[in-house]
Amino acid sequence: MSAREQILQRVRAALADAAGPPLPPPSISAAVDAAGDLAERFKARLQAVGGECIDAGHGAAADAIVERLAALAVRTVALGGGDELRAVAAALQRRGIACLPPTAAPADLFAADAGVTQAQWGIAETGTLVLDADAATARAASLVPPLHVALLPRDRLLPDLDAALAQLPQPVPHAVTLVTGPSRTADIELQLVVGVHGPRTLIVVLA
Amino acid sequence: MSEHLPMERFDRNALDALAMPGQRAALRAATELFGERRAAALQRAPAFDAWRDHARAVKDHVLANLHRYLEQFEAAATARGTRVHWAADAAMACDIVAGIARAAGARTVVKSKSMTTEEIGLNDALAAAGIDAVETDLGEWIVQLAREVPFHIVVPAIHKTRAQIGTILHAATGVAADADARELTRAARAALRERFRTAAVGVTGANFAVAATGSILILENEGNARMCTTLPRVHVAVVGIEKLVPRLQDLAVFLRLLPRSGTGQDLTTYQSILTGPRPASASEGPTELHVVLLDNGRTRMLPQRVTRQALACIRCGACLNACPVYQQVGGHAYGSVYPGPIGAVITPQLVDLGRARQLPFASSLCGACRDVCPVRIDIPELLLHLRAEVTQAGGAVPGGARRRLQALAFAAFAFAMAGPRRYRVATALVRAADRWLPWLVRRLPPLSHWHRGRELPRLARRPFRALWQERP
Amino acid sequence: MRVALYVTCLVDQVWPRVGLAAALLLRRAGCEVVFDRAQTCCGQPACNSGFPRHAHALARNVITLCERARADALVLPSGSCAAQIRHYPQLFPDDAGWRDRATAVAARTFELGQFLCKLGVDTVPGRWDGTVGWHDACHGLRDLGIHDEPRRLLRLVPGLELRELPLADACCGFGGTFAVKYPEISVAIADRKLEAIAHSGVGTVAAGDVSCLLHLRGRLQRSGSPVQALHLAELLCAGAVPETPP
Repeated sequence: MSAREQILQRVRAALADAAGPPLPPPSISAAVDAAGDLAERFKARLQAVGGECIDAGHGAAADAIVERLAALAVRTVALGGGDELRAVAAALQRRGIACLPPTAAPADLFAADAGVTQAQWGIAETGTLVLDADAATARAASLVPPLHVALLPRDRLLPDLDAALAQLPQPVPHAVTLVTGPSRTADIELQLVVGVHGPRTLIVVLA
Repeated sequence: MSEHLPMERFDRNALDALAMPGQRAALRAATELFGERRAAALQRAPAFDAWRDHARAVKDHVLANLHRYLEQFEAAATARGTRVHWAADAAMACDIVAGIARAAGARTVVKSKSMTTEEIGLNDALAAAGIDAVETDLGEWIVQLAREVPFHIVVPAIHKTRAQIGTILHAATGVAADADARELTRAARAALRERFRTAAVGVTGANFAVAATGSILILENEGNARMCTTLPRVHVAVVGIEKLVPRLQDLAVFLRLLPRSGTGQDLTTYQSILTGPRPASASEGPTELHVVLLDNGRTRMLPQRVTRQALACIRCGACLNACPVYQQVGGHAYGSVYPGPIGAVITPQLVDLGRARQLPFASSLCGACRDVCPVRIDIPELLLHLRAEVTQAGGAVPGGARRRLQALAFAAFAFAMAGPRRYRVATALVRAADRWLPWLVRRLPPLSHWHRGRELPRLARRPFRALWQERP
Repeated sequence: MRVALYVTCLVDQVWPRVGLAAALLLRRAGCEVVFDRAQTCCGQPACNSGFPRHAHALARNVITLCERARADALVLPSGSCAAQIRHYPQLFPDDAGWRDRATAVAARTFELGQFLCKLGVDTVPGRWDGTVGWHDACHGLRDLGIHDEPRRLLRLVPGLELRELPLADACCGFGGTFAVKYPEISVAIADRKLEAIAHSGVGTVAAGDVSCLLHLRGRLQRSGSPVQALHLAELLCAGAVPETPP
């Protein structure tokens, strides 16, 4: 008998008399703090976890990003995929900042100073970005370089986790990454250190 | 090779732990901090109790229908290109993972923090197969370098001072031994980045598995799990069969409960929901994704309702932080991958009742664990159930002679309490022996044990029932 | 109101003053108090040590005793023993007869402080000059929800200054046989309580369970602390119930 059969048989035998409750409907999604508009809530939650939020006007996102990266002396950027980043790529190149394309091998991204990606959704409840890998390449660019800039359209803000999970396309994308602030640890004497394996700085540009 | 202390000697391990003031101070700081943060998070989340009920209902439903959800998961995952393996026990799981690593030509694998992989002893098994498994969670890496086992579910190296960690990381990376936490972290980051960049295989666990979509969910703060699941071309996840939830939507309530319960965070920094290897259209991510579904004793806990509830555990660590015993002795004393209150009830079942026979008794039954458990596991109920199992075990569980003595003592107690006359005789006898109490206290175990650290109460010269007789 | 007083084996043998105080308080509240000398032990130690059969036998004794008393309520000066009796129905999963009887008894079982508050007691016979900190014993707190009642009652005592202890709801470390199975851990847990008590500066720690009090008092004495450990009932009757000889 295969391990599969063995395990399933054990489970079936164990549950012969089991009467579990019916599956409750999905989530009680009372958003934790319901006051305020989505963008304000998103910004507040993002800042509370150490992320930065730049509120760019319509069409001004690319310039805002380039200004910020230039101020931080960034010289090489790993670009994620997606049409909205074309303007950003062009602006970066005009500024003399080198760009690695989304098709670059992830191992090459270790030399980049920053990663710039799209974010498909934002969650106001927690200040979280939702990166859908079917929609655009972003996994390595948002992880490997020490600075991550995410371009989030403000009409893509959702109230809470339930809304975000419901919003995911079907079939579910092969990789969905939720990002809430920069990477962190408290493993050494409980002292908070920001910037471990993921980025140390997270900047969300609301466009 | 890192080894656990023997769980059979919890009593001695605990004594040793009590004699380590530095460790006790670190333990106190950690458990107090997490307790305070959890309380603060709950203040901001008035719906918390409703979430707990909801989460428990989901788990109860899944566990009562586990075979159906396992089959559903396998079908959905396979349809997305995941290779699903089944492992009846630890040895089988290790063989599967080693086989995958060998087939990938890997001499090194990078690992994210996974208690399930510790449970099966994966690192040792891989080492025996000539494969080096590098822990990448900072605390886990420190513990691995120190050749120890984790001390706490969430902060594995919390028992170590910065100076001790500095010494360990100095040897591994050359960083100054007296560097501060930030520099030490930076040094670890640099050293492990090299591993991430070159590893062909990443091994993780999973916090949850979604039956409807064949997805797995991994929560973390550092980013190392994302590294292990994005850069290597092969990703293997070892997942206990109890980790299933039915639908993607069901993840929300658990995402609300786990971080708040464990560390007081509203959400951990990263969640990765992974469904299959990279499709042809993607340019990054593993080309092979394997999920190893692990039994290893979990099916033993399924038949009875009282034990099945422990499979609802989401490994948040809240019960550890709240437990007055864990707060004093820490994680090593339990001698198990799973310490603290939840460890005391699942170790006897996953590992062996005989070896773990002390653990259900290492509790004052205060119930703080049940108070904080996000899925409302009634740990005290389970502790009592396991105590009865141990006392009723025959030769299968070592220590039979001692148990027979205890059984005799309790039979005598029950006999004495069974009727008023016997009670009067028994208590009169004890009262008569009161004169020899100072002598007895040094020699008779229950009394001498009390006497370690406490003055002994004396029996009242006249019991209440005599005084009641004489009331005006 | 006819009340059957169940003093508990520890009170009977070690701390009878608590029983006298409990009886006084109940009588002052207008109850007829009966005490059946056939009472022994509620069975908690057997239950908690993994001997459910002995626990069953003792439970049946208590149930029979309570039925015989034909009282409106069974009152105990102990949260953990009252909780054990409330727990009795679960000891008889396969015996509907005993389970029903247990349920009826459990429904009439109360811890002393909770019962006095139910009766609306608003004066007490005791006087106390000093500061008191309340320890929330685990079973009373978590199984019976005892929290506000003892604090309300203590505030009725003229002269008594009630201070909230830090870690008031932390376990004292007694835990039944745990106290002698793992004495060093038990004492280490007590020391954490003692630290909180010392920090608060109270002269007396009070609780509703003699088990916790014996453990705390034993440690307080061994560590040379002048802090007293007294039962709720004693404090409410301080000065009105004689000190019984040790």
